[in-house]
Parts: sequence; C-alpha cells; structure tokens
Amino acid sequence: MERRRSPDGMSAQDFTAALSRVREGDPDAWGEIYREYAPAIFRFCRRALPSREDAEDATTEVFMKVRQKIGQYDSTRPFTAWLYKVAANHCWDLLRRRRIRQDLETEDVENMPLEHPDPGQLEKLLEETSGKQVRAALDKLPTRARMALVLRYYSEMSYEEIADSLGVRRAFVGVLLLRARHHLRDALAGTELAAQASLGRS
Amino acid sequence: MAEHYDEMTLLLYLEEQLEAARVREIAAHMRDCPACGALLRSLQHEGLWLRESLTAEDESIPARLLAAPADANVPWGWVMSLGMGAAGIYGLWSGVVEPWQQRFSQAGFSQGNLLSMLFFSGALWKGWGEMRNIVEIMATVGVMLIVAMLLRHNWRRWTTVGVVMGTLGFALAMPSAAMAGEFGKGDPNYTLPPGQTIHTDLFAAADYIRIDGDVDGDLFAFGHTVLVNGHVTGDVFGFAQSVTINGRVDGNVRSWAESASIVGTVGKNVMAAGNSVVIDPRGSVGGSVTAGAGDVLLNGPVGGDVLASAGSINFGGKVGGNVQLSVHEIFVNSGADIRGGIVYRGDQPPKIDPGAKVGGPVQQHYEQHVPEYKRARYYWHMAFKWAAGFLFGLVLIFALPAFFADVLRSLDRTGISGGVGFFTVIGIPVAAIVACISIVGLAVGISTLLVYAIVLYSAHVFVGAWLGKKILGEASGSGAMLGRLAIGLAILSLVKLVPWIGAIVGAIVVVWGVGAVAYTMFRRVRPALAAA
Repeated sequence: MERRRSPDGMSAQDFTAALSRVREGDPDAWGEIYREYAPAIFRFCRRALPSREDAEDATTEVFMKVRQKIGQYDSTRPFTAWLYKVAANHCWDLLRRRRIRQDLETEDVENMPLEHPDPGQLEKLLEETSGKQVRAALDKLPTRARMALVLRYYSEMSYEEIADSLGVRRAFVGVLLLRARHHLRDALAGTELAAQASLGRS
Repeated sequence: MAEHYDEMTLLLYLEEQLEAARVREIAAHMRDCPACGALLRSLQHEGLWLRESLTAEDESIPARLLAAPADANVPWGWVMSLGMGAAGIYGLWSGVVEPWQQRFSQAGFSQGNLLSMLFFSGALWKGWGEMRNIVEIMATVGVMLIVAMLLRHNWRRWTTVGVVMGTLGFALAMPSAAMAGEFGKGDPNYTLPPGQTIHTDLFAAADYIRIDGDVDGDLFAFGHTVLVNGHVTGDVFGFAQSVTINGRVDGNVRSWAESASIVGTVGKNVMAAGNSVVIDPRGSVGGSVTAGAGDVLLNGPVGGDVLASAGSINFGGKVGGNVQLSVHEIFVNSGADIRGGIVYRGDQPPKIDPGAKVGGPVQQHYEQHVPEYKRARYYWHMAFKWAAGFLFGLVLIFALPAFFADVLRSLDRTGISGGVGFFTVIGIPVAAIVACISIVGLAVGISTLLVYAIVLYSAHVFVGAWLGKKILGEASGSGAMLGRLAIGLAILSLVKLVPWIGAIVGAIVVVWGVGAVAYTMFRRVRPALAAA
C-alpha cells in the first residue's frame, strides 16, 4: 500500500526528461521540478515542524540538499519517496537539534499497554473534530509522535522507512504510531476530558 | 470465542504488518466478534480521518517558495554580509585599533591595563560625537530593515540577520578616530619644561607629571602626582593621587584624585571627586565648583555656585553664587563672603562665624516626597519602555522566529529555566570580569558583558510574550504573536508599578527569562558539542 502524495501536473515522461536535463546542469529543468514538488514538501514540513517560518526555511533547505544530491537518486525508485525521505531526515534532524520534549519520549516507545478501547467514544471524537483542529493539535504532540503520524499518514511511508528516518527498530513503529494516535486523541479531547481521552480503555 | 484483540494488534492487522498466519487467525475472529470488528472499523476510520486532515491543502504556499530559486547554491546575502563584515573589521583594526595601540605603547600603556583602556577609549574619546551620528544612522538603517522584512516575506530571515550584522560591522568601522594629540611618556617622570609650548592636546602618563610649559589645548594627565605650573588654554583632566594646579587653566578642571588643590587660576569650572578638594586662598575659580569629597576647603574666590556632597565643607573666601550642599558639617568662617543663599541637606545647621557674610537665606532643604506614580513623566517613561520592549520583540519575532518560539517553550519549564537563570545571572558577570582581568580575555570579557546586557534586557520581552500566549492561547502566526507580546509587556509594566511586588516580579522575570534564553541556547548547541 504505497500511495505517495505526488503532484498530478507533471507526467512520468516529463519528469524523466526534466531530471535528465537537471543532471546535465539545466537550471530551467530544476525550476520545473522545484515548482512541481515545492508545495507538497512545504505542506509536509508544515505538518512536521512547529511554525510556518520553520517550514518555509526547511523547504528551501530540503531542495538545496536535493539539488546537491540529485546524482545519488536511483531512477528506478519513485522520486517522491526519495524526496520525502530527504525532507523527513532534514526535519527530524532539525527537531532533534532542538531537543523538543524528545527526552520524555524515548523510554515510552517500547512499552505500549495492551488495551481494547471503546469504539463508540473514538467514533464520537472523529465525528466531532475538524481537520483544522487535528492540524492544530499536532503542535501539542511530542516530536517523535508528530513525525510518525506525518510520515505515515501524510507521506505514506512504509514502516521500514519510518524506522529508518526516526532511528527506531522497525518492530516498534507500530507502537510509535498507536501511541501517537493516543496522544492526538488526548490532545483533542482536552484536559477536562482527560479521563475520557483514554476512550474507555479497559 | 477467544478474548478480544488489543488495539495494537488490530492496528498492525489493519496496516498489513502481520504475518499471514496471524492475519488468518484475526480475520476468523472478526467474523464472530462484533466488538473487535467495531474497533477495527474505528481504527480504519481514524486512519482515513488522519490522512484527510493531514493532506488537506488549506494553507497558502508562501510566495517565495512558488518562485523557483534562480540559483540557490550561491547565498549572495551571506557573501555580501561576510564581505562587508570583513571590510568592517579590517577598517576598524587598521583605522582605530592599530593607531591606538601605537599611541598606547608610546605613552607607556599596555593593552592589559583595563582601566587605562577604558579611560582612553571611553570617557575621553573625542569620537563620541561621530559615534552618536553613527548610532543614529544605524538606528535608521535598522528601522528600514525591519520595514523591508515586514514587506518582503521572500527574504530569508537568516540572510537578513547576516546582512544586518554585516552592515553594522561595516558601519562601526566608518567613524574615524577624531583624535589628535601629543603623547608624553614618563619613565618614571614626565616634565614639560618651562618655555616650551605644545599646540595640541597633551596626553601625559607617568608617575610624576609636571607641566611647567604651556599647553595650547587640553591636558589629560594620568599618574601618581600631577602638577600644573604652566598655562593650559583648554581643560585639564587629571586622574591621579594628587592633582595640583599652580598655574593658569583657561578652561575647566576635572579631577578624579585623592586630593585636588587649586592654587592657581581656573577660568571656568572645577569638578572634583576624591578625598579632599581645596581652593587655596591664592587660587581662584571663575565658574562654579562641583565637589564630591570627604573634606572640601573653599578659601579662595569662586565666581559661580558651589554644589557639594561631602563630609565637611569650610568656606573661607568669596562665593559669587548660591550654595547647595549635602554635607554633614558646614563651617562658614570669618573671611567668607557668600553672595547667594545656602540650601543644605543634612542633620546639622551651618556653623556661621559672626564675621562671615551670607547674602541670601540659609535654609534646610525639605524634599516633598511625591510618589513616582503621581508624576506624568513616570507614565511617559513606562510607555517608552513598553514601546522599546515591543520593538525589540518585533525584531526577534521576525528575525529569529524559531529561536523565539523555542525560548517560549523553555519558559514553560519553569524549574529548569529558573535554576539556569539563577546561576547565569550571577555566574556570567563574574566569569566576564575574571576574563577582563586576564590580559588575553579582555575582548572576550567585554563582549560577554555586552551579550549579557542584551540577554538581561530580552528577558522581560520573552516573559511578556509567554504571558500573552498564556492569556490568549497559542499564536497562529507572527501577527498574533505580536499581539500577545504587546499585551504581556503591558501587564508586566503594570505589575512593576506595584511597590515591592513589582520589584520582586521584575527580579523573577529577569532570572526566569535569562534562564530560558540560556537553556534554549544550550539545547541548540548541545548536538553540535556532542558531535564535536
């Protein structure tokens, strides 16, 4: 199930041709690729990073890296996968340098309580919450949890790719994602509903 | 029927992360277990909901990102900044530092003497006028850059910072040292012989300085003993244990000395700080006398007013103007002739000899205590401070948005920020002073103190923004953050009006804010340190 977020404007042939021209040093071709993918990468960075300004800077820096490393790109693999990989690594490095709440997360990754929550509570939360609220709630999540959600549900990365990007064992990616979902539910439920935020976990 | 599957297992099942045998087992269970089926559907629904929420194209793409970079590999802003910075440093070094070094070495000073460095290049530097102009220019340029930043979103912030810093560095190099003077080096004594005239300012540094000749300019004297027997057409600045003026000074005498004696003639004013200040009966002062000393003896004529703060003061000569004193003991002796009145602040009334003349009234100064908050000026001052803090915060928000947000997050961690702040507020100045004392660390020490002062000032800006954020909630952009900053700073200003509590809050704000800044900086450099 690989459904990468990729723009629809440029066909595969156009992209291949543009890529060849980029490798020959054609700046116009680079401009075409940049314009094609910059919005998607900006949105990715916007979801992963705490502020719009950070996302703007990160987008520019990601494309500078991509241009420098374009020779390393394996044309047999999807370009978007490689692009998101570079973006994910860049954003994660950025967040790690800031050490935002990361220290609190490391010990929790491998310990996920085995629960069977009440689906009714979860459905109620899903129905009552808008997409805008979800995006705003990302700011309240621990860094690693936020990154995990974005990598999985925005850029459709595989568990292997997520493990590689976040530096965790593949076996714990599921735990990370479930914990991130719990964090998000708690953030959306609010402090006064903290008790319910567990969604009737038994 | 088996027990229900946990949420983790169902999520892995949903995301196709389980082995085939396990998948078959769960699929079979699903057919008979409505509870697990419902949870699976909810998790699936949640996954779709997450995808839709995260991929929604609700936010506009910044204009600068829509245009492809012409050639992003060349950071012209940084190239220009570094170039200007390098030119500035070179200009500063070759135009100011090097000539000063030569003059210092000619005058017998070494770079390690902090006090002499500060005296020479600080209070007595004649380039302050030009420096003021430069500061004004820099302020204007700064405002223009802020406006440019507000208008041009496509200008990279760090590049902006680089350009500003480079420009400032360049601007700093622009003022030329408006200094021209003769340097007199003593080993150990310096004497300007009688009959010899120096037609410029004279800087004399020696153990014993004796000016028998004439100086057609100002005299700056640093030494143990300074003796001026000749004629100085300008001002005399004396830094010594003892300064004695036996000759004639047409300008002012400014003395920072253990004892200052005027035996000759001073055309204008005398300002002296030290243990004793004496105007000899043979001496005279054309203007006023301002003295801060243990003992002041005014036996010679003073043309203007006398303003003194001292342990005791004796009047024995003529005073042309009024006398204002903050003195423990006041003696107006028989030969004294004070044309004006005496206003004193002290516990003892003046002891006036019957033979002395005092033209005006003698009265104790009662200061009517008007609380600060009853004065309009106080509120103007508060408003000005608020505006200054807001402008400073505005620059930080637009120039360093990520750092600003990081500091606000650090403020949430009150314990660690407070602890770090406590040690930083005390430790940094101590470390900087220790660095200043050592010859090698002079520049480092002064730079550290400057940065420390900026961080101290920034503390209330960060705490103000944090306070505004707590009141109004998270800011969604720079504009919203500015609003929160404005409100937070206003609240802090109001709280600081309250006696005692305001002072305590102010101290807490400084410690907490400085701690948050220091902690944020530490967090940012820690990976780099670890990598090194």
